[in-house]
Amino acid sequence: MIAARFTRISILAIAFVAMAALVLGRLVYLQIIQHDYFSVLAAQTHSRKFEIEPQRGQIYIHDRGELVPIAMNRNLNLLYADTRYIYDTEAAVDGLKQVLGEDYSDKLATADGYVVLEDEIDYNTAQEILSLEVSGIGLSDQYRRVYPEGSLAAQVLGFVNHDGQGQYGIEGEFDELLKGSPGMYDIETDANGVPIATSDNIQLEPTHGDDIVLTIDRNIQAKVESVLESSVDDMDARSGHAVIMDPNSGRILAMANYPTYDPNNYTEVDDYHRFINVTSSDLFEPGSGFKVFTMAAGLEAGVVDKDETFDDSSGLVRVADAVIRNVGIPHSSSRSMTDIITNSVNTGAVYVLEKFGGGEINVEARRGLYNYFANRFRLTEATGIEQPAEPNMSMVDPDSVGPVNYANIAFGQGIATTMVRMVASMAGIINGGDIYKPYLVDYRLGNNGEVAATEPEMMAENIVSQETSETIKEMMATVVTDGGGYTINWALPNHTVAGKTGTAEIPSADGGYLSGQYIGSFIGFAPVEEPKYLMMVRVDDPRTPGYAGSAAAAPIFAEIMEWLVRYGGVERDR
Amino acid sequence: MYYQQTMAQSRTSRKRSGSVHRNRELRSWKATANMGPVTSTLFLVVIASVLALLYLTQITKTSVYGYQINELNTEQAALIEEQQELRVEAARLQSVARIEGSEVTAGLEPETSVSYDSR
Repeated sequence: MIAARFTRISILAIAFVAMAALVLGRLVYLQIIQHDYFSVLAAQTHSRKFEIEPQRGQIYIHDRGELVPIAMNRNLNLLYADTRYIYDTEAAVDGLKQVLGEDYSDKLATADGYVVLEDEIDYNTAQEILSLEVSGIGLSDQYRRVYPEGSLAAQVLGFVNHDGQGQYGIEGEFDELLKGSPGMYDIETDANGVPIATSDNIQLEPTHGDDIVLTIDRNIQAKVESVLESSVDDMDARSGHAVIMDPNSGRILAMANYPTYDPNNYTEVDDYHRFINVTSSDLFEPGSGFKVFTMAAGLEAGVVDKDETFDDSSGLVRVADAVIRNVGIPHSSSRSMTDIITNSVNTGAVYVLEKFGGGEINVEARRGLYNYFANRFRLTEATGIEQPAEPNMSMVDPDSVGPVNYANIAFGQGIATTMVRMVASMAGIINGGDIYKPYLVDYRLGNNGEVAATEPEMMAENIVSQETSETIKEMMATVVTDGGGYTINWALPNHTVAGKTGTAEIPSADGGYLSGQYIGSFIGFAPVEEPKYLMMVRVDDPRTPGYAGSAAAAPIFAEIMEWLVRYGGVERDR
Repeated sequence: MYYQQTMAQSRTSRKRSGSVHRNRELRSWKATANMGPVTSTLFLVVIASVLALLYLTQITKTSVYGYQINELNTEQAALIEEQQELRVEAARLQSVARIEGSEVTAGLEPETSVSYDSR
């Protein structure tokens, strides 16, 4: 009897010891052998480490003393599902269909774990989704760049792509500055992922990007774009472009290109050329607009006098084996220097060049013109405007080419430049001799409220004397009163305006020029005595009858300038 | 009688203490209650428990505050998001393209009616 009881107790004891051994063994396995694995698992469950995305700096433009946002940020949401945590698929599908009108049953059925259902969910929709309280359905932050003004100044701005990279324009040029730098979050959380306050938590705040205020005036920009759009369409032209600058500081007031695009929907653009700011990035042959520079060089060098005349009775000039002719103007035995500008006389530009060489286009003449164009007027230098891909320009070496090249250059053929470059150099000629660097960034607003303002930067001074400057202005004024800028004269009967037309052939890819295709341009300013606005308009391949400079570009210039003098409160001066 | 008893007790007491000094009125105080090892342990356990309780209270409070902070942060983030949304919407509604006749141009009379021809 006693032996039997002892046996039962022993068995029970052994069973308990065995169970205890099993528990102990399991504990050893979990806590010692599997220690590393479970440590990591626990850390993954209870700690979260992630980057805090900085807010991209906003971009503003001016509107009569106020700042208007033109590039902003929007906190959108990415809708995702984790099918492992969806316990009621039917409820999830019904709920999402009710809010978004989409049926996600197929997507959820085929998904194995995490799946993105929708992106760019706005705030209100996100709130509705959250109110569904469906397990396994979540939202994560998604920042998107928004351009509330749509296509306004699109090429100046550029856009931010889906990877958050700034592309083209200011967005591309100042990408790093606008981006800022991310912060860091290393925290302990509970089982639901909610942060627990502990002393081990680390939170480094992000450095948000700087805001940028552009010099662009919203109303001027809108007006320019509106006129370009209607005119280019009316003229059935390929494209139209315009720049308006304060010639006394280099401040850009408008910079427009048409056709354009909406940076909010940049993915819909199939031709990447739409993204390019042609005014600052595209080299083109300027045509007769360059005669102003040739004349300024001649006057400043003292090789020609403003009252001088020359015999142009044949209307042509022979240079080596080439013949250079005038276009559409009567011959004259006594052509004045002013008339060279007024009526855009090719032979007159060649005449000025010849005067550099004592009457022929020798190496002295070529060096003389080169010196003025490249070293004084800076026509071969990139301006440094805050836009990407501004090209450097070049001018053929005066010592290694014949006279024909330079004869062509004298009236704007065989040389390429950008609109911004021409405007910057022209400003120097009409403002008394100082070339300012054109600038688009008015100031930057830093994270801590510090302001970094752009001061007008003089790139060259005294490129021409005050006397030469006044003479050139007078000559250019005759283009409006008596020459190819007649439409401007009609549009602004009470204001003095000066300028110069330009019509140039378009080079073809295989050399030579495209038949019947031209680039028309007009560069001008108002008022003549103390210029406040300097504008250049360019129209590519217009179908308008007549010379593209005076028939296509000048009317656009006229319409914009007529509005601009009223908007800017320019007093009537005639 | 009372005096005799007192003196006798005093003598007895001096003999017990073993520190009898002639002509000196020495007095030694004896603890009225002794604390044994069990009491001391219990006492320490109670103190440790109280401290642990205080610690737990603090931790709990911190945790509760942490949750509150988290909730407020979430609320703040939602409000900022809503504010941003409203700002974007306001900017869109005030954009040049949207405001009819905004373009200042509408209020400016042209100098002359212009029609262009080409020459």
